[in-house]
Amino acid sequence: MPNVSYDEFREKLKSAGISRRDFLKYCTMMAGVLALESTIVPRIARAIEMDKRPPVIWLEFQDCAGCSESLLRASRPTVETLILDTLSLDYHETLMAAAGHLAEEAKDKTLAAGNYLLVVEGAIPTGENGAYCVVAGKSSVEQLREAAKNAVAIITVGNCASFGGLPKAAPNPTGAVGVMDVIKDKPIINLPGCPVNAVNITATIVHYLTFKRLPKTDSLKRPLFAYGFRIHDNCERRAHFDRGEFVRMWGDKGHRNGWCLYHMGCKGPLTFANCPKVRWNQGMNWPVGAGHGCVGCTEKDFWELGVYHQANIPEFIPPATYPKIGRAKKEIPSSTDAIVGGLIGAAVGGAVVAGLTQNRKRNPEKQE
Amino acid sequence: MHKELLWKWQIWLYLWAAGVAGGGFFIAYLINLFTGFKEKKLLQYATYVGVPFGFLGVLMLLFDLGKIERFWHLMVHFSFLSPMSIGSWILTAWILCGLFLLVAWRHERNPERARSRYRWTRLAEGLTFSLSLLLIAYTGVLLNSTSLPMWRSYFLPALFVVSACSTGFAGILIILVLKREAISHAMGQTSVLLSTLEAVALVLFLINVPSHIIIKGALSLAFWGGIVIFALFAPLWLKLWNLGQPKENPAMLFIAAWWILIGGIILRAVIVIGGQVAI
Amino acid sequence: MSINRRGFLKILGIVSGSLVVRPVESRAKTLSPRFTNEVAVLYDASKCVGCKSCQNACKRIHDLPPEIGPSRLYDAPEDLSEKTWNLIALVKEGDKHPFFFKRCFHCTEASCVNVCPTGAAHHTENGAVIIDQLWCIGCGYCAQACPFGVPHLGEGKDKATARKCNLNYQRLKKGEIPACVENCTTGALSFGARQSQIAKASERLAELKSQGYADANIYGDFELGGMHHMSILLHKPGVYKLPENPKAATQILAKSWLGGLASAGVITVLMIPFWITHRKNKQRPHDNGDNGKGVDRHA
Repeated sequence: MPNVSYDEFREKLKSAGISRRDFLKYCTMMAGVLALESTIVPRIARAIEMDKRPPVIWLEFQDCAGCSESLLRASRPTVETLILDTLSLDYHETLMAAAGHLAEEAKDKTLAAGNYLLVVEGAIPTGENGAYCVVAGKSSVEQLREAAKNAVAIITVGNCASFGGLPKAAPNPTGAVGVMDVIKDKPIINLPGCPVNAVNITATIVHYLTFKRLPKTDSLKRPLFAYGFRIHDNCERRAHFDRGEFVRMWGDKGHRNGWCLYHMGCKGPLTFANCPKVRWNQGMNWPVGAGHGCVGCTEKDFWELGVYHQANIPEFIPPATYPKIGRAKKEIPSSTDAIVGGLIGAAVGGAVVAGLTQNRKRNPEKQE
Repeated sequence: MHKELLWKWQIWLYLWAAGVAGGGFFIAYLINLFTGFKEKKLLQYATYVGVPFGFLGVLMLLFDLGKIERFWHLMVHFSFLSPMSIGSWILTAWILCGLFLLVAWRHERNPERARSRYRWTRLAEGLTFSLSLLLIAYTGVLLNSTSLPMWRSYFLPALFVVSACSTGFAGILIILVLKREAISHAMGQTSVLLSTLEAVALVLFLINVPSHIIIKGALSLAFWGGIVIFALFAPLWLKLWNLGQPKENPAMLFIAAWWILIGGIILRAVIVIGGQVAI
Repeated sequence: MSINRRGFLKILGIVSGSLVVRPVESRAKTLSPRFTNEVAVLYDASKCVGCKSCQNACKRIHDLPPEIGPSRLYDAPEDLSEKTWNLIALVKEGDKHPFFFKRCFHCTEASCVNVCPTGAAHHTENGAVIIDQLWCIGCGYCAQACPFGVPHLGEGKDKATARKCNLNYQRLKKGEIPACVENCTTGALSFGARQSQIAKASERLAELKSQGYADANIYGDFELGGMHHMSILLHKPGVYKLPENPKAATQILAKSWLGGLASAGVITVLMIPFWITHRKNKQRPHDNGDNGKGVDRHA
């Protein structure tokens, strides 16, 4: 798809019934997701509207296409879809209409030209020399290496591409791994989730368009604006957790009243993601809001945690704004040493005086 | 929030003063009981020491109060459940009796007045003896009726009684030495007995209460140095050495008595401070 | 010795005089307090959310200054004091983190009332324990005696009197309820006739036990003769650092006195040998100075 020009983009917005105001609102929302101040908004708007946008190659490997589906969860055309529409999505196996040799040729041309963003969905099966996933005659490992060669950066969407995902679950018969275990020499942004929240994909791309660089990441290469805080710390049911109001059985009084799902296996305390903030389906709802605990799908090997097993919170400490039970400790007065020292000194002094004076005088024996 | 102790130096000084006053008189009276009242001088010296010490105690108590001007509230109320109420009445009565005795003994020198006052003086001496016993026992009972773990042992009143007798007797010995009077072996032996009993009571007390802070903790230096050495071992050693001599060595006795006296302050300081800190 | 008529009259005078010296009427007897209109405050730890409204209400009603603790917060004092008469503390033990409302328990067998030497600490007719601020001399005995360390005096020059929760008895006289109860946001605090509060507590206890709190208990229904500030605890009292079976400070009085008198008795008995022989020696003018012990001292 050729780059859409500035005027064409504005026309597209108009024909989709999106006013300039809605568009700027969207840019403001993006700024919020990226945790940037509002003065950035005009820059974001300009970057989205600009003429030259980098092409995107979207590769799928060992996946369920859920992350692509996540992207498509638009009930009506939104700015989001349009952005991705207007991005030169040169190759997307699920979404593109083209197929066969022509499709592959288009891809090879883009790859050769370079300066593109590589989006990867799905795990990379490395077992049996990559025989478990072969597309157009090439194994996924080879395809990935080829595609990564001239890419500006790799954005992995979904837990599978980030960390290996469900294919990696024991016994991992295909030897599935995440992209970062295969490609070591390119900047990688991991956007885990099962599926990934589409807002995070667009936010990452908008960030790149605006600032021409990738956002700051944590040690697992996840952007901090989305994965820098725990579900638990932004959950609307946190107050119930603090109060000890827990759901104990599906459908009980606590469940009906929206109490905390910690005892039903919610992994919120262990999971870094922004689901409570941006939610799903254009902010409609999210798992906890719907009454089921978080399963921790943005974390490595999250399925090992057991969906209904209680999360192990190793460093749970109640707030420091309450004093402890028990009485306050008293201190030994600082003058104690001085006083005791003085007394002993007096004792010794008295002894010296006595020794010097008393023995010189002999006492006469008195009759009693 | 309050890092300061509630009961400070005024309290342990008072406990010591009350002990010296009551204990001295108690021992002196006992000696007189067993010798058919032949050691009147001891009783008098005990009172000469005791009454000023009693006043010192009262002063210390007053200074410790949060509202000093309201002290008289103590004297219009009596509660036999409150050791402090009992104690304030006992102390007052003891001082009054002591003052009466001082006056009465002066009058006894006058042979014409001697006979009519004789009975009242003997009565007063007996009363002061009972009050002395109550005085030295109540100080321990006072600390017992609190909720501080170190002060809850029954060995505390026992210890305070012995310590009071020991320090009170030391006070009498000092007067005897200063007045250059002869001190019989029995006096020295009594002093040894009291020191030994004090050591025993101290050990029994320490093993029955949480005493870590005293034996090994922040107060250990004051305990081992001030009490064990100065108040117990050293005087004991001096007196035993003294007893082995053909004649009493007044200097040794004085030093021993002086150290026992000062050791008494340190003992009460350590217990009062330790009890409040080790909650 | 015999007492003549003069002596007898004197003794009679002293005894009658002592009968005049007795507590003024408003200070009820401490041994068997006669409560006519017994009330109680009930704290339900299962409903407390730690909002501290009770703390702030108490400060407001009694005009008490804030107390900045080590946390540097205005509403988290480390412990009760003469300026802080109640506080919400947080237990941090393993996985147990309940709140606890720390304040005077207004015991029936109140240690503070028993040991007060002036009668300033006394019971009111509805069971509250109050310290008469105009009568207290600031000796600090109540502070040392209370098993829970509730009364406090000031420090240094501000020692003044002992102060603690007084169940807002002035408001009670006007027919109002204590400020802490009135301001409680969740209904964790309730006030009323003591019997009805106990009934309410028992009901709530049954509810809590059915919810799985097997260790839940009522603290204060019979402890220390019954308290007028009771608490429904979610765990055993030990978790809240409360004594399981608290005893009044004066409970060991008899044995205390015995301890002291027994010690005096031991001294008396042991002194006999020294002085009886000394007396014997004094009666023999030809004593060789061996105290009857037969030791040759002229070696």
